[in-house]
Amino acid sequence: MLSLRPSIAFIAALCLAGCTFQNTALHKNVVQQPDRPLPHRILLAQPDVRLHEISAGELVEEVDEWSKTASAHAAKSVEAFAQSSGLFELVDPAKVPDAERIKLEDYSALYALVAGSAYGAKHSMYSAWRDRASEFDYTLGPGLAGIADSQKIDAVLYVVGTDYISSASRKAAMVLGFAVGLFVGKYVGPESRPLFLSAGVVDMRTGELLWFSTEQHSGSSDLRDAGLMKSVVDDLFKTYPGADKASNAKK
Amino acid sequence: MRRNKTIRGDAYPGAQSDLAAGSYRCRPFARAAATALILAWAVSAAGAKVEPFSDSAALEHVNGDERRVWTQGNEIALAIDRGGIIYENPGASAYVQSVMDRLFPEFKGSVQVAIVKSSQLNAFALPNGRIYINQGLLARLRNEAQLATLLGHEGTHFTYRHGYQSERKVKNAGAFATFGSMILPGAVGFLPQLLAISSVYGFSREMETEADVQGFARLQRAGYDVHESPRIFEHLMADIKAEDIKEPFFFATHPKLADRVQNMKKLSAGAPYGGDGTSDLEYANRMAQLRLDSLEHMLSMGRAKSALVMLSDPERVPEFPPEAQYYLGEAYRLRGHEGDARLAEEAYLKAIEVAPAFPPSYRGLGVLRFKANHYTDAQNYLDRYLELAPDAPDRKYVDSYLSIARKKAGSQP
Amino acid sequence: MNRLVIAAVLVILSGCAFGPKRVDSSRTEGPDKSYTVDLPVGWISQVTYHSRLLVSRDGPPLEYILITKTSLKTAFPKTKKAASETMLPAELAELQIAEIKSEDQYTAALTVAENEPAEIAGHQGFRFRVRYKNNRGLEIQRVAYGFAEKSDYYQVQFGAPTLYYFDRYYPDFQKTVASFQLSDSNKKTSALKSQRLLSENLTRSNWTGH
Repeated sequence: MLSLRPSIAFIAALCLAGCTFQNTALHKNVVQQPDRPLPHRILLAQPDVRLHEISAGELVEEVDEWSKTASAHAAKSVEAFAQSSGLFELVDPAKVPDAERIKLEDYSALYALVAGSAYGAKHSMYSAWRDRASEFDYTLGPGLAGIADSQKIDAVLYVVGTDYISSASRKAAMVLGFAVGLFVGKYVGPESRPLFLSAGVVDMRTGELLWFSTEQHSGSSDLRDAGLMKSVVDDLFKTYPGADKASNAKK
Repeated sequence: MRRNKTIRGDAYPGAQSDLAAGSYRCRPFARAAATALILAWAVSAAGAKVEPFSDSAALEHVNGDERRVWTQGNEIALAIDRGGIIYENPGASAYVQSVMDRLFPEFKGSVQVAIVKSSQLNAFALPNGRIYINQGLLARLRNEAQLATLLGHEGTHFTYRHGYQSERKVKNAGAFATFGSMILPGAVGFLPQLLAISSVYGFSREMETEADVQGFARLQRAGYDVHESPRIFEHLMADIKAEDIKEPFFFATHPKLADRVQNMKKLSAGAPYGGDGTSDLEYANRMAQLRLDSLEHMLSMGRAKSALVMLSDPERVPEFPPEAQYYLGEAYRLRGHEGDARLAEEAYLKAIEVAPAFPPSYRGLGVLRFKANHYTDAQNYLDRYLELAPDAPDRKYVDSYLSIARKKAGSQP
Repeated sequence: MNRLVIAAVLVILSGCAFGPKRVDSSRTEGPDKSYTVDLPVGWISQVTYHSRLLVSRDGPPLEYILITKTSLKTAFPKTKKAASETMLPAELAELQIAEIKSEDQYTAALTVAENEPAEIAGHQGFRFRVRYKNNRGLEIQRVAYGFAEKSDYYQVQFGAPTLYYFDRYYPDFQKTVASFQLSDSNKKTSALKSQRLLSENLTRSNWTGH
């Protein structure tokens, strides 16, 4: 089964430990209309952060409890950012009626394709796709406008991520890999797998993917750690429009 | 499984030679290390015994590693549910579930069976108690005792926790392989990997055999005629031969089909004859619509040979609704061998005789006649088709044939 | 976002026979020059394996137009069915639908929303629309036009999620189909064929099969 691994492994190969790649895009309409009001009431879709354990034998298993913990941390971190920055107010999805929540789920599935395509184009080895991605006019279409009007919500915020945590035996294998590597001049242990987190804000009336931010962080990581999650989310949202002003105002 | 990472001596000039020399000098050490590793593998491969679930109440205590395996099962189940691939037939679904509940009464409500919209010969059990059986496999079975054989096998995979055990063994074997490949240089390094691979396949076959044996026991306890159990594999062998499949997916890690026939015969050798579930007609009545839908699906995927195996056996004809004759015609048409057009025509004519209100038979015959330039006949059959099915989804194709046929018929002497 | 989607997009966009390029002028020649077609300006086109022309604006998971030319004998590798010049368009459509159904367990459960005769490049062919759901329950639709010309099989296909993308870009696909023409060297033969249309094929018996 295909996974994010190939792309992440390629980027991770560029540096063995502690590298961070951050990437942000703004919808062209946001760039061209700097005075356009940004969404104020934003519904936070259930964060989808999946944590996996990798064994020394490279068996990858998603761990449900860990994923729930990480997703809950992500939600709290975003809430904390919203409160501290004052840039937007988060709306609790539980307050949305069931019928409309089902529609939101359909659009979550569409978001996965849109964000995946945007990410893939930005990181394509071909300039034609990278140029196309730089135009950044990705959209989910105006299908959520009805819910926006009835629930008085401006946008949806999606947080999606993955992290891989080595089992104890794999960590031991990595230590051994370094030790053996000292003799042969090359690390021979299991490859590390970076953490990946992304956030996207979609205008519910137009469907425009207004802001899209991704972060990859290689080296040792564990998104079960609330502190680490907050740090990564804060990094993600550093590029949110107005975030720098809000941060300076606090100082 | 991760491939063995050969230690490359490209770190500095001459590294390759040093490694080669080193492996020769270290050979006695390598032999001792390999022995130790093989012993360690034997221990890790054995693993602690996992007791089967006793009943539904035991499922509440699933935790830790096994709970994670269930989570994976839940994800797969969710994807299947969302993907629209479940076959919606409340009657057939309820019937299959009732047979499962009869075999595993202490797990009633915990082991859930769903039918998948697929003509492939496949069935699988997820670690969380969801069992999926393809429409195509159900259609090929003859009676309830054969269905019970299949469900007994799949249900045992769940109650004996095979999903969890397999995951554990692959993990341990893989870890062993990883460590081994790092410690042992050169030619010995690949050995742990091979041992790991063979242990995975070896255990899988054991579990399949356990599922056969324990499933058979369930069959007996529930009062089914156990002599039906080898026959399910005999049918499947015939289908595989017809479609020229090496071994179908269902049996990818299973013992060979021929071996399974023998195993089942041995198990049932001493058992008394008689028991429930041997009525082919009763099963046929319950599965009538499923069989037609399965034939439709099979043919829509181009699997004419499989359809012919099912339909061209005169002994099996009474088991199918009369409309199945049309599908026999379609199977011949799609196969397209020498003489198949004539056989297709015969089957369509038979379908019209036994099921005169079934529209597609008229279309089948009409198109055959059209392609053979018998335009008057073609018109008659195609007109009748549209009379019976005015909203036919392929109406526009048929209208185009009729338009040509009318012109041609008019110009024929 | 879906890891599978990202990987699929990276694979599609990175492993091509010829590098992708932006469509600047709409009239485009096929990779083997056997046809010309109008492609939507501003989309990205690339030639993939077996000289398939893949065009997309936002990335193939969101919308794509795929133009293929294959031999009739090898046009359906998944179902391993050989087509022939004497086949009716409905029979070709049947094989193409079976081929799509054979892709994975999700397409295997597709429903055929429309299936009808259609003319493309002056040839009698087929047009069908199918729908199915992906593993997240998102409905995807595909429309395919196809026809046989001598021993070749041409197909022009469009795929997109039903939500927003299908309706939004279907008109672009329709323009592409309407503009599809066989090249000059094939035109003489195609002109003859278009005059005789379907009935010419049917004078030859296919009792012997394919």
